[in-house]
Amino acid sequence: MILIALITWALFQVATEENPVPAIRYLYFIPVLLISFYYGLSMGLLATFAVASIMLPRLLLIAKVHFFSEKVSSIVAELLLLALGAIAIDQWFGSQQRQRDFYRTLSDLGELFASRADPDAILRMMLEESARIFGATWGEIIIKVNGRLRRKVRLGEGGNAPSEIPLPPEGRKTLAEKIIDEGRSYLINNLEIDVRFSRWFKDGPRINSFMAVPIRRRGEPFGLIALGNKFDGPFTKDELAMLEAIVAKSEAALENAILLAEERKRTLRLAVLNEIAQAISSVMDTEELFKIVHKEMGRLVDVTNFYIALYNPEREEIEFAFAVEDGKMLDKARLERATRKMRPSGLTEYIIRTGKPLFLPSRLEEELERLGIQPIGRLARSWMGVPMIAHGKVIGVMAVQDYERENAYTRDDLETLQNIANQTAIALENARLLEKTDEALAQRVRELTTLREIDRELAMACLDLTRVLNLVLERAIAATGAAAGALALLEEREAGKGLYVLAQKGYPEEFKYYMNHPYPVTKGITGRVARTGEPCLCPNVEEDPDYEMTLESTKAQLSVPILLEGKVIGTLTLESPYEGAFTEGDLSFIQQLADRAAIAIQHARLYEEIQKASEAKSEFVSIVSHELRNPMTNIKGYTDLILSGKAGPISERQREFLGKVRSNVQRMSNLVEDLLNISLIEAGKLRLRVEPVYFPGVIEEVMSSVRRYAEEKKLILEVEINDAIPPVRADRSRVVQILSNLVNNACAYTPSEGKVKIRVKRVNGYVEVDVEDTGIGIPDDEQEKIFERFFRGSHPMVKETGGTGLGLYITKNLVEMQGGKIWFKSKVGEGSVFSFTLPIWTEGR
Amino acid sequence: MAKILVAEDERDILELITFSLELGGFEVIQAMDGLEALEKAIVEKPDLVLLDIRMPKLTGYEVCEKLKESEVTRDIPVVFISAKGQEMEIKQGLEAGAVDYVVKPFAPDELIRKMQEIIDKYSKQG
Repeated sequence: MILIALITWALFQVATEENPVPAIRYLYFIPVLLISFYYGLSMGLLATFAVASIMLPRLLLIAKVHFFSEKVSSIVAELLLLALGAIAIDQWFGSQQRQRDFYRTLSDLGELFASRADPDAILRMMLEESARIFGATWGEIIIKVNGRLRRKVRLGEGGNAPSEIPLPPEGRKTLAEKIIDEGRSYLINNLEIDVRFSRWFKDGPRINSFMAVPIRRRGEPFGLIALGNKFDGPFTKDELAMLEAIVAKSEAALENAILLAEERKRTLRLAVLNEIAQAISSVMDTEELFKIVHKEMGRLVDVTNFYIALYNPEREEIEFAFAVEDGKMLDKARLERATRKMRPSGLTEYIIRTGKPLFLPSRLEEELERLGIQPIGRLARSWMGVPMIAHGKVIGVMAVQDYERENAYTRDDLETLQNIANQTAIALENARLLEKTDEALAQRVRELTTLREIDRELAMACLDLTRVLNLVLERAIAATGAAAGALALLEEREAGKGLYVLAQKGYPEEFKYYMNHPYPVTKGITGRVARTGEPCLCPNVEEDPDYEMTLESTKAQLSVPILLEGKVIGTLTLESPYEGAFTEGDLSFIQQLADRAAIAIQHARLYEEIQKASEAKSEFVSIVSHELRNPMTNIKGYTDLILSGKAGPISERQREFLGKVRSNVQRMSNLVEDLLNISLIEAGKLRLRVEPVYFPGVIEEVMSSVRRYAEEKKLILEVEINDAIPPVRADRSRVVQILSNLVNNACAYTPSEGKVKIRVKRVNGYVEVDVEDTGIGIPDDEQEKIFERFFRGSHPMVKETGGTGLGLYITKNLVEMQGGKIWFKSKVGEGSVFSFTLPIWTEGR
Repeated sequence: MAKILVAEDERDILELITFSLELGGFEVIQAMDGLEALEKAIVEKPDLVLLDIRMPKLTGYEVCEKLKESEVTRDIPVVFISAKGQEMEIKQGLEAGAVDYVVKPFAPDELIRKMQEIIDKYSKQG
């Protein structure tokens, strides 16, 4: 600095010699000096260089006039300028190099800081490394905690023990507070004599050079690092900037370390809570549960002294359920002796009354006095207790105390204890409720079991209305112990509209009158229930104005509506000779029973309707087919007579036409027969006369009926049958029907001179019959529809053949009704094989 | 010449059967309802009774049962005329004492042949 000043001064001395006002010379000097002071040596040199450049023409002039020739002056001046420039550039590069070196160190420091997980270790490292880099003889890190300054780390004498910093006199701020509050760095050349700053602290260091940088967390200053030097020259602005950089580098690592520490504690808390939650769900014994709670809580805080007290509101007492004193668990007898009446000024009682946790980390005596609590026995130095709250009620207190240390617990510990207490409370309360509800639960289980049984029975009986109703009534009587019961349905019959009693038990004979005559809905409690749809639980019938006596002995009555889709379809009434015999539980159970009955009744009714409809359909088809038969008999009979020539001679033309009449009557006759078959099959009314059926006979019968037709068509008929084929279990006429249907089809759809073959064989427990032809075959897209009703193929040959599309549908049904299977294979243009099986006849089946 | 009593309430069918049987060489006695059939069976003592099932006054079953109850008519074979596919009717008829059945619609030739067979069979037994 002095060097710069001298050079500048000398230059100006020469340059401004002829200036009439000498003082102005120094004006040029001032900015250069200021620049040097604030921005360092390199910048000062640069400024000098700049001034010299401006002054160059003048310098040249002076040199020429006073000393040298013009040429020499110019060379000297240029050399001078070059030298100055070189020095300045060298200075600038040198500082750049130092900065680069520093930043390399800084990046190493960053890694070093990041490798530490403990915030205190990071702070200590920051202080030590900074002191080394800047050659400081003194250093401290100070943190502000709850408004008070705390010395966290200190270099040299005093060691690393944290200590409180004495408060400054009223109304004055120490420099340390200023730095933190203002959040800015300070660089002081001589702390001892600089009057602008009050002393560091009362016990502050005697140092000259001082610099301090605030330490921030999430942008807010919460502490500082200060370095000092007793003998060396002052710290530079660059050095301050470097310290700031070090601090900034440490802040991220510090933040991570703090978060990690918090996270670890939180993880531990969660683990503890989780352990306890598991214990609560798996441990049934309460003492065992308390032991686990104690052990787990011990992972977070010192639980040498711990207790769980339960509040008995009926006796106004506090019972100790669990206690550990000086690390020893108290036995049952000791706990029982400790049971006491609630005291107005008790500590535990205070929490029970307020339902609030109490956190006393220090100065217990003062705090307790303030709250008006008089503790018993020796006084702890740290205490925290929380209420155990279940379903909104305080059922006890969980507390932990430390007789040796103050500040043994944090607010987070309190929160965890509260959490544990809540879980434990709910577990205790549930255990208590479970005991209480055990009986009610057993009752409920019985009811559910009954309901399930009923569901099963109803499912079996559901198609028979009378059975359904009787079943429901029986169950209702059995479940409630009623003396009499009646189940009535709202119906409109010829006898009138009202409740028809369709199931009843325990009533006198004359009550049966209501089976066929309506019980009016205007009468009695049952009538009201049917009218309003509201159930009635009547403990004493004399108190109900609507009651109408049916049984003299009745005292209590229970009536529920049977509701279907919100509409009353009937009632279920139970009577008992005992007053108050039916309970709310009975009511809910009987109502559930009635709901189930409603569904079963609906099913039974629907089934009845379907049955009736189906019967009506069969009846109709049967009548129609009968009525059609007589005219057909006439047409066919008279045609045959004329054709036989017995009614006189006819021409060939007439014979041909009459032949057409005859074959069409045959078609019609087949159709009627098929329809009749279907109506019987679908109504489930086709009766089978099961007997041993022998295939040779069946085949003979079928062949004789089809032979003439086959001969006309020049078809070859073949039969392949083993003598040892056993009889099948079937209705003979139906087997004939099945086979003749298949053979007729085969003949109908096989062109002239083709072949139809019947093959009979034994396959396991069945006889399999294949009817193979060399006919037109069935196209793939028609194959899956072949057994459907009224399906007819699209081939012209099918159209020519008079058929109804019902043959194969009936055949399939007949096969399956007799325990067999039917299937086919077919290829267009090659032919088809239709196969069916029937079970072999066995005795005793 | 064998004598056959035919009971059928539908005139056209009755005429058809009569004509067919007469062609076959039988003597035919006609009845239009169950009661008439019963009376004529007792009076005429035919060789065979051919009964329709659904008839006014008395059904075919009832006529059959009454014939079987009486000493005089017990041995006359009874044949029912039944619609094809009505197995229940046939079964009931056989239970009532009929020896066989004819299925409507029938061809005259078959009817004649069947009647002849039954008459031959029962006259030999008788």
